[in-house]
Amino acid sequence: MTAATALFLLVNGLTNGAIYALLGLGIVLIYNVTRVINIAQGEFVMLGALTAVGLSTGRAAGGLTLAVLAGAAWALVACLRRRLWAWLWLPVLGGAGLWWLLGALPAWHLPPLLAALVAAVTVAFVGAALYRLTIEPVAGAGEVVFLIITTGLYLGLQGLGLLFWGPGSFSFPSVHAGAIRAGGVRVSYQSLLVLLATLLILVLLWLFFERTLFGKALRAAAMNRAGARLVGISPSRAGIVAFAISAGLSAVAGVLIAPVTYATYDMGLSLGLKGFVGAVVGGLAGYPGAVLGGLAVGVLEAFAAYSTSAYGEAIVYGLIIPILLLRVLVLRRKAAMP
Amino acid sequence: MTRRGAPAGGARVRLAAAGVAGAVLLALPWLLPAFYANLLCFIAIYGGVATGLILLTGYAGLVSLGQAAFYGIGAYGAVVLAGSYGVDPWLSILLGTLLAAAAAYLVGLPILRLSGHYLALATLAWGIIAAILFTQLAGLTGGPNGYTHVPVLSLFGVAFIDPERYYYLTLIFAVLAVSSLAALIRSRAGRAVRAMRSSEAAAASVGMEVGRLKLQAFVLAAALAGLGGALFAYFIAFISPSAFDLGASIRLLTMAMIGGAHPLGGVVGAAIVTILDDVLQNVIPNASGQGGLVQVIAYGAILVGVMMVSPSGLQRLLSRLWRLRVRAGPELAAAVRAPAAGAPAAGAPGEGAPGEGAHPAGGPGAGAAEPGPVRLEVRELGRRFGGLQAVDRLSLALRGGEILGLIGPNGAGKTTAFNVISGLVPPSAGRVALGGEDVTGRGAERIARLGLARTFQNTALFDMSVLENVMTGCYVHTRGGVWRGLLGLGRTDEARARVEAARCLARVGVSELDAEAGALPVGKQRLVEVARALALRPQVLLLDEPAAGLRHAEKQELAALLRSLKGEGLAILLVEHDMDLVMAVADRLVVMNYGTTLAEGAPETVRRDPEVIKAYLGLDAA
Repeated sequence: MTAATALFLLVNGLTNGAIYALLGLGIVLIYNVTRVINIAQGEFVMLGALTAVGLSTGRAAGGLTLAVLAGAAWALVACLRRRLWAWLWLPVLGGAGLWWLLGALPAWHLPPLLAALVAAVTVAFVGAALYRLTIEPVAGAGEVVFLIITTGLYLGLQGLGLLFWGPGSFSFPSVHAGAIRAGGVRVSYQSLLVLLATLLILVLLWLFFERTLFGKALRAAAMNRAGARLVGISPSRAGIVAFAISAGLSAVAGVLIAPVTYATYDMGLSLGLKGFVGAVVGGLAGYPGAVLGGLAVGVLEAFAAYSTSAYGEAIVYGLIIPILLLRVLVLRRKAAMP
Repeated sequence: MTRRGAPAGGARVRLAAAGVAGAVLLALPWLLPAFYANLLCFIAIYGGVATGLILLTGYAGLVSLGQAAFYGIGAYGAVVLAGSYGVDPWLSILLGTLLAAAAAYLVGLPILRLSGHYLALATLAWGIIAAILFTQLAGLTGGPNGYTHVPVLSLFGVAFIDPERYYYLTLIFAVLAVSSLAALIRSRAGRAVRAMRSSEAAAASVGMEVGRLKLQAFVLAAALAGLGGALFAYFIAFISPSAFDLGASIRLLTMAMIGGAHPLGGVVGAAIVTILDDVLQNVIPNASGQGGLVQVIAYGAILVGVMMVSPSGLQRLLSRLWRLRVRAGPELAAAVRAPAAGAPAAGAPGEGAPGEGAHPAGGPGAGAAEPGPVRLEVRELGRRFGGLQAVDRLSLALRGGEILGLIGPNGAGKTTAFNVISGLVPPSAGRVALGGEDVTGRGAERIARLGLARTFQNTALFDMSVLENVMTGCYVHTRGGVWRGLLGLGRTDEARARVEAARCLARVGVSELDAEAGALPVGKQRLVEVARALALRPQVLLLDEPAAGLRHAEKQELAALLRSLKGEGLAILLVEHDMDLVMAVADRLVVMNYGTTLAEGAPETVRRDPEVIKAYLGLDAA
C-alpha cells in the first residue's frame, strides 16, 4: 500500500466516519436520556436523505406524509389521554386534510439547502412523535422491551421508505462538485463539508448542553431520572427533545452522505449499527467518545475493505462483540453491585 | 401431557383433549384444501424453531436477534453436506443440527457474558456476520444465487416431496420441540433457567451454575433452529442467503414474542405470523399491488404493538389452555404431615427435613446446644467500590449452633459484607473460610454448594409459585440437567424436592404453596426466602433483615424458628434492625460502622458500649 493510497483511504474513512460519528452522537443522546438503544437510528438517516432528495427533485416527499401521519396520531393520543372526546375529529380531519393537500400540491423543486433544512426538521418531528407514540407509553419497561420496539420501528420505517421512494438509489446534488488536492490526494469538497459540518454540530451540541438551561436539564435527566423529576424536569419532555435532536442530527447526516454514497431505502441499518459500534467504542456515554469512536470505525472500515474487500463489513460488525465484552468487563470492575 | 397425580376426572378430560388435538393434527392435510399443506409445513417448521427461541427469550430472558444464523447453518450444513459431499440426507439433517449447536457453543461462550440489550446487540452482529458469510462463501453455499443441488429425502422408497407427506416430518419436529420444552421447564434444570431470568444473584446463591445454564439454553435453542433449518431446506429444495438474514431473525423473534413464555407459544406465534404473511401476500396485493411491502411494515407494527400492549405475548391465554404449574396436591400435604423415612417425626419444634443429615452437631433441645466447630471465618475482609471502602478489615468467626448478630447503622456495609461472604461480590482484601475450607473469591454458586445459604434484604424471589421457589433451594442436592429435563426424567427427585420444599414452608409457617410468590405480602415473602435457604440444607445461614415487614406475632415465630435452627447446630449470621429480636436471639453481636468492626461481644456488653451508642445515636448521646 503506497502512502497516497493510505492517505486516500484515511480521508475516505474519515468522511464515512464523520457520518457514523453523527449517528453515534444521536444514539448516545437517546440512550443517555431514555435508556433506549435505538436500532432504528439509521432509518432517520434514510428518511432525511430521501426526503431531501424528494423535496429537491420533485419526487414524492414521503417524509412529509409520514410527519403528517405521525403528527395526527400524536394529537389523537393527546386528545384520548385528556379525554377531549369532543376534539377527536380535529386530528383525524386535520391529518386527512394535510395528507390530501400534500398529494394535491404540484411537485416541489426546492433548492438543495432548503430541502435539507425541511428534511431535518421533518425527521426531527417524526423522531419525537415516534418516541411519544411507542416508547413513552411503556417508559417503565425494561431496556430489552425498548430494543425490540425499536427493532419493530426499524422494520416499519424501512418498509415505509420502500413504499414512498421505491427500490431505486438516489443522488443528492453535492454542494460543489470540485475537489482540492492535498498531499497528492484528491479531497472532494463534499468530504470537507461532511467533516466541517460534524465539527460544527459538535460545537453546537456542546454549547447546547453547557450553556442552555434545557441542555443542562437534559443532562440531569440522563444522570438521574428520579432526581430530575423531583426538580421539575419531565422525563417525557426530555425524551421527546432527545429523540427530536437525535433524529434531526441523523437526518443531517443523511443529507451530507447522500451525494457521496447514493441514498436508498435500505441504507439505514448498516449505518446505524456502525454508528452504534462507534458509540460503544467511545463508551456509550460521552459525546466526544462517540465522535472519536465513529471516526475510528470509518477509518478501520476503509482499510479493512481495501485489504479484504468482501469481508470488510463482517469485520466491522465483528468488532461489536469484543468491544461490548470489553466494555462490560470494565463496567463490572467499576460496578457497585453485581 | 397430563400431570401425574391430577384428579382422575381432570386427567381423563385432558387425555381426551390431547387425543382429539392429536387426531386433528394428523388429519389436517386431508381436512384442508391442498394448498394449505404447504402453509402447515411452514408453520410446523417455524413453530419448532420459535419454540427454541421461546426457551431462550421467554424463559431464560436472553433475547436473540440472530437466530436465523443458526437456522441458516442447519439449512446450509445439511444440504451442502448431502448435495456436495454425498452424505446421506437423513444423516445430513443430524449433522446440520449438530453444526448449528456447535456454532452456538462457540458464539455463546463469549457473548453470553453479556446480558440485556448488550446481548441482543451482540446476537444481532453475529446474525449479520453469518448472513455475510452465507453470501461470501460462494464456493460452498452457491453465494447470492443460492444452493440448488438439494437431494430428495426418502425412506424405504417413499419420497418426501409433496407437502401432504412432508407435513408429517415437520409435525414430528414441532411436537418434539413443544413437548420437550414443556417437560424441560417443569424440571429441575428448567426451574433453574426460569430462576436465572428473575434474579441471577439469587439463582447463583442457591447453587445454580448460571453461566452454564445460559449456554445450555443457547445451544438448545440453536439446535432446534438448526434442525428446523435443515427441514426447511429439504422442503423447499432451494436455499439462498436472503432466507437467513436479519429480517428472518426478526420474523422468528416476532413469532416468539407473540406466543410468549409458554411451550405452545412458538407454534401459535408461528401460525399467526405465517398465516398473516399469506394473507398479506395473497389477499392484499389484489387490492394495492404491494403485498410484500405491507408485510414488512406490518411486522414492524406488530412487533411494536405486541411489546406495548402485552410484552408477555399470548402467554396468559395459552396458560389457561394448558397449565404447566407444579401444583401442591393433597398428597403433598399428607407427605408433609407423615414422617418421611429417615427423618425425625415432624411436629416437634427443632425437627424437620432441613435438618436431616446436614448438621449432625445439633440435637433436639432448642437453644441448649454447645457451640460447635467454627463454620464460617472471615478475616480482615475488605471491599472497595471506587473511592468508597464499603467493608474494611472486617473479621468474625461463627460457630455451629450459634447466632451472631451483625448490626450497625444504615450504610455501615452489612449488606456488602453479606454479598462478599456469599460470593456475589469478590473481595478486594481478606479471606473467607467456610467449614475450614478457604473459599475467598469463589463464585456464589460454589459457595452455596459448600453449605452457605442466604436471604436478600430486598427479597429476591423468583417469578414462580411459592412451592417452586422453595424447590429451587433443593437444586444443590438433587440431580438432573437439561437432558433429563428434556426427556421428562427425574420424577422421583422432583417428588422428593416437592416434599422437602413443602416441609421447609411448613417450618417457616407459610401455607400458600400454590400462590405466586410475588403476590404475597412482603413479610411472607421474606419467610419464603428463609424456607428457600433452608431447602439448601445449609451449615451456615445468612439472613439479611428477615423480620422487616413481619407482624409482632410473626416475629416471635421467627425468633422461635431461629432458636430451633440453632439448636440443630446451624450457624446463623443475622443482620437485623429490630433490636428486640436481635437481643432476644443473638448469642454474640458484631457492630459495624463505616465498613469496619466497631464492637464485638455479648449483647448486653455491646448495648452499653459508648462507641456503639455514639454510632447509633450521635455524639451527644454518648
